[in-house]
Amino acid sequence: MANPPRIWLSSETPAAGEIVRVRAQVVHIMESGLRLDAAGNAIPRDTLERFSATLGDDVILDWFPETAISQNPYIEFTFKARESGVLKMIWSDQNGVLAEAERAITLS
Amino acid sequence: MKTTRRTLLGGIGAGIGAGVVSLGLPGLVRAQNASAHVVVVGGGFGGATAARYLRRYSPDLKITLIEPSETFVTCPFSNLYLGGLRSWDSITHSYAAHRGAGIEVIHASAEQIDGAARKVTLSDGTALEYDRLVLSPGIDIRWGALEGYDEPAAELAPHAWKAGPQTQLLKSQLEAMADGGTFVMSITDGAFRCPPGPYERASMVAHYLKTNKPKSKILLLDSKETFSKQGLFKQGWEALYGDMIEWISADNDGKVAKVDASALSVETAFGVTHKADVLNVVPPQKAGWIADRAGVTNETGWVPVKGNTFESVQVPGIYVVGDATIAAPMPKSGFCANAQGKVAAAAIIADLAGAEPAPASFVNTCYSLVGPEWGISVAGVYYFDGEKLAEREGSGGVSPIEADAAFRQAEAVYGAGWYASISADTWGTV
Repeated sequence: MANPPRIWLSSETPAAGEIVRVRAQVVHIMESGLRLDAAGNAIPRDTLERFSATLGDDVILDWFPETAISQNPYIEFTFKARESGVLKMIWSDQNGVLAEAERAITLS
Repeated sequence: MKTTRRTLLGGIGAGIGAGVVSLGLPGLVRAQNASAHVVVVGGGFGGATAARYLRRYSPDLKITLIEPSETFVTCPFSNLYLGGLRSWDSITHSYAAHRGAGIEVIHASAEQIDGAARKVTLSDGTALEYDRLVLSPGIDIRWGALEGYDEPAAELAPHAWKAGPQTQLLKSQLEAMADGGTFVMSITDGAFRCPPGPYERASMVAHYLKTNKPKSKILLLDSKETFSKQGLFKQGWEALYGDMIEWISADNDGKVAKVDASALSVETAFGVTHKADVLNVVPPQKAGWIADRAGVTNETGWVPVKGNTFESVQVPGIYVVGDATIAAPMPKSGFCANAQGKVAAAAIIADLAGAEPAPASFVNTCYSLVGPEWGISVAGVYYFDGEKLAEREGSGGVSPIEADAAFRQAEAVYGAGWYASISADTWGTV
């Protein structure tokens, strides 16, 4: 993959109960499959199909992007820090896992 | 003045661009709506045009224009004011021509609109009853939608996205900036007034800085990954300003997530802080607040309209025009507002006569000035296809990328001509 995902966290050492904000962006063409090329042939669909974020064994977010999502999807979400663990994010498209990223979350 | 059909048509022919719909209006319309009252709220491109075209179509109609300001300063060409190419007076227009045409102009703001009772209440307490209302509310800023950007912040880091004191504040800040300073502009995504506006502004600020403070830099932090007339702008920037302008797109962490106006700095979505000497924020926007009170906005903050008449889909009898409307693929531009004002005026005249609206067609041209002698443009023709607004296939387009200097210079002249024409059409001023 050309570019690793961009990740930003409001805090990697939150207090217990603190709301942590996460921003994440991955490079992806998000070709809808609905467009035609200059010769009039359909351009094959190539979209991000799933983004999931987990902390330890807990699912924080599971998202299934569809054709209306723009290129290089940007996602922003929050979770309440209840315990320390590894925040793991996985982006998948039709070819399987596209990118993974991890950040250690340590309660302060 | 006695208006004959001949002078009526002559007047329409003298107008520019849109309003194609007007030619088929039957003469008997005038007799039937003589007692009707149309109130127009907002004296910008949409409202001021609608008022004048209502008068052209119907010499006897009672027309009242509500506009808080005694003069109107246009956003189009306000970037040229920032660049030092235009005086403030030259982008300021009065309502003398409206009064001269027998339109009552009231300088107050509309505070409440009751669509069921067909009544407008003004800031001075006056209540006006109307048969049809034209609402041209422009935009308002979504204060707080961008973290840290509220009304006090705009006094330190102006948006200058409504022409007026904010524009003058930004100009005075640029004039006070030391040579070698950095002008930073944060640009929103989503729907906003004047899609090429931020990039024309960057061009005009670059012209001012190159002329007066050549060691300065311009940093554009964009929440989008592409922009209007991008290839043409970038070509012009490189030719005229070298590397003075740096544009950072959303996929390169250009999206600003937080503004610190007192520090004149911004923080991007992925945590990079950029410090400015002059900070300009083009913020998230919505329809002007009176549209909310009239009940014509939907959950997007903008106004859905019927594409053939620009009547609100939510409140009958209220015709909404200009930047406040959801009119894609038409851009939010002064020219579109002007075209929509004409279509709404014609639709109102037809409706008052119990007739069907004529087919609606619209023209838009957006000229942008990259340098004093370097103009570029994008144009389009739009129509109502029976269900929605659509762009006429094969119409319009953008300036060619491989044009020579004479072509760019000609487009700069055409742009000035466009401004003179639309000012004459909208306000009867030059």
